[in-house]
Amino acid sequence: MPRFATVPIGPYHPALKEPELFKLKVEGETVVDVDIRIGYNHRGIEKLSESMTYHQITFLVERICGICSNIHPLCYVQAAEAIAGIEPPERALYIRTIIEELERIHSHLLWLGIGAHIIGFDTLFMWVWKIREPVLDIFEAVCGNRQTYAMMKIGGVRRDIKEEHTQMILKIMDETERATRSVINMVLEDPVARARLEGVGVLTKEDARKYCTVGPTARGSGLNIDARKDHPHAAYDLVDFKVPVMTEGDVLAKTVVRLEEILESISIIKQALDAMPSGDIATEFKEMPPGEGVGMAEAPRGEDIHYLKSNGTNMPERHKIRAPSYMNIPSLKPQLMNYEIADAPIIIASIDPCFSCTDRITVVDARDGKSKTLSWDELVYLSRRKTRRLK
Amino acid sequence: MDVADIGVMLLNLLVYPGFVFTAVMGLLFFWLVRKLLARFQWRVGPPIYQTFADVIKLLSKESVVPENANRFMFVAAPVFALAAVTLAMLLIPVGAKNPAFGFIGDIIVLIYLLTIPSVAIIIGGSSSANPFGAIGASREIGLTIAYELGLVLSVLTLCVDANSLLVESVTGFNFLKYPLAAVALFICVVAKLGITPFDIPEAKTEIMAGPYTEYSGRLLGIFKLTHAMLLFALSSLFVSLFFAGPFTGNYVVDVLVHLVKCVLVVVVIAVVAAANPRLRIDQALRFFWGFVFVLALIDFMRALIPVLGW
Repeated sequence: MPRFATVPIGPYHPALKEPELFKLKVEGETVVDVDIRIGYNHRGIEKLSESMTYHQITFLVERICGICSNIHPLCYVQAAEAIAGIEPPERALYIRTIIEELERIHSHLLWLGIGAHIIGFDTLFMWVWKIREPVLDIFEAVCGNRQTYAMMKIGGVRRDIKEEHTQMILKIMDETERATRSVINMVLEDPVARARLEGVGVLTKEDARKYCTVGPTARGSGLNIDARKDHPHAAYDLVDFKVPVMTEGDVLAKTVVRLEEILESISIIKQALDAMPSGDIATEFKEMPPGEGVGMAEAPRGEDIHYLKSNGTNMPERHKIRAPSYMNIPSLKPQLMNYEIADAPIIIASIDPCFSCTDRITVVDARDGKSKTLSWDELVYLSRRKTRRLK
Repeated sequence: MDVADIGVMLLNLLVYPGFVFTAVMGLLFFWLVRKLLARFQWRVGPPIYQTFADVIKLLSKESVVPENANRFMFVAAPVFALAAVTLAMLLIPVGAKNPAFGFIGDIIVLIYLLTIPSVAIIIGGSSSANPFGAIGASREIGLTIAYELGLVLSVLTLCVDANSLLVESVTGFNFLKYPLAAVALFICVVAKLGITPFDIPEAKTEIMAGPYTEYSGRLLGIFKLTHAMLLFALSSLFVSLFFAGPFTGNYVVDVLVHLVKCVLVVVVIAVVAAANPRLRIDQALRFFWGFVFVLALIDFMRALIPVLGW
């Protein structure tokens, strides 16, 4: 009987909604080593983007991820605007902020539901998703789609937020705020939920810094970083908001950070609706001069960066995307070590990993990565094959 | 024992209150749990025939036995579990003071029979040659060790009180006398059924389906059926031990009253399942050996002290 057993979580596993593989080496129920393999979701979007026109790419990057389907277009148009030197009108900036915060609310609620499902709290899962539903209704009313909103456009936004939308958003935000507060109480006061989340999957501040984590994962470990404050984009420098930071670093801290972010987002949306000036929603974008541009925004999972290099034609020469989960996934190793298998799914979920965003990144150094992730069995197989060939 | 006696016994075993009756009631109760859970969660929930359809579908499908599994153990485990629950129903009174088939010391046999499904899950999981099965089996061992203590102690409380090991003399409306033992037994019943917050062995978001991971087709169907029958058997046992009577003398009315009480127990089980997330195995162990044990022990001492004459 070997001392260690290997328990695979993924590539297909009920707790993961997307295919990735976490190989847990366990001693009894305790995790002693972790092997993380990503790349099951690679679709070659960066390469594809180099063969598309600037307007088409907005819709291509929207399809990187289903949950944060606004953050990639937002980053991309900011990068493109940086090259072209376009200033979007102020109303467009406010609309971008509102859409971005609505997305954060629905993404965090979705995450909370999945987290509750993972710890077996299916009632909370269903309730939270019921709260999330009206937020998607807003998207449907404002953008015409519940997901993949297609709102961003180089130079501004594609659709305006009309007066009747404002009333609807304000009403739903009030309801969401009340419901979120009761959910916060439910999570914090339920002794069993607390027992499952508190002190589990601790990421120390040093590790959080060392592994370059971003977003709520970093903020749950005491790192006060937020692209909305540190690199203000859209209308974030025009509204007033706090960045919730917790120092415990456990799953509970990350949960609380996300829940408080929902409340902050609601407040941002209300301020933005109030302060939004009337006027145009887009500036004209005619041609792209040669140059380089970077766009960054705070996705629900952390800082998202798009780098764009133009050579003056109608297609970019290089388009590089760095999604937040790419930074957060390696930090799972210190988080998972020495905890139990029962804790592993909620710890993995606690960084809110978005694999479809991540995988399109790993291809950049696929050759290095591949040689590194060969397992012992595969090496033995390769060596045997070589022997056979030599015979 | 002549032919007629054997015939009656076979009828008891296979039809009432044994296999057929328990299976139908168990599947109905299981549907009730699922429906109530769904309503608590703002879902629609399954139609009333869903659990029957599930089991019939599984029973008509092929079972795959993994290549590396211990074939005999793997196939025998669900059959043992089903047989044990069917037999146990002969010893659990339904709407009466005495069970279908009682003898001196039957309560000990009953406790053993009710442990066999857990043991079968352990055997099935560990013989399936699957890491999830092995982990599920080890969790089931942990959970069984955790709840058996409280379960046995609370049943024993009634035995000491009645000064008898006959199921017949133990049943009655004992709730007012020993409420703490009743609560302890109820929690143990929820754990034995593997319902949230104690669905630790088959925690699907952690270890797929735990011991059931490699099971499919008929064998899985038998396990599911056993699980449903166990729901009825355990809620019946709980009602008979703590909420039985008063009896009207009309057997049909008594059985119906018994079933209504069982439904109430199942409703409470569904509420508990809806209101709680899943515990971790070490937390469950601490809970059972701490809180539940103390509850059961207090009532056990209350029963024991007059008997010992302290």
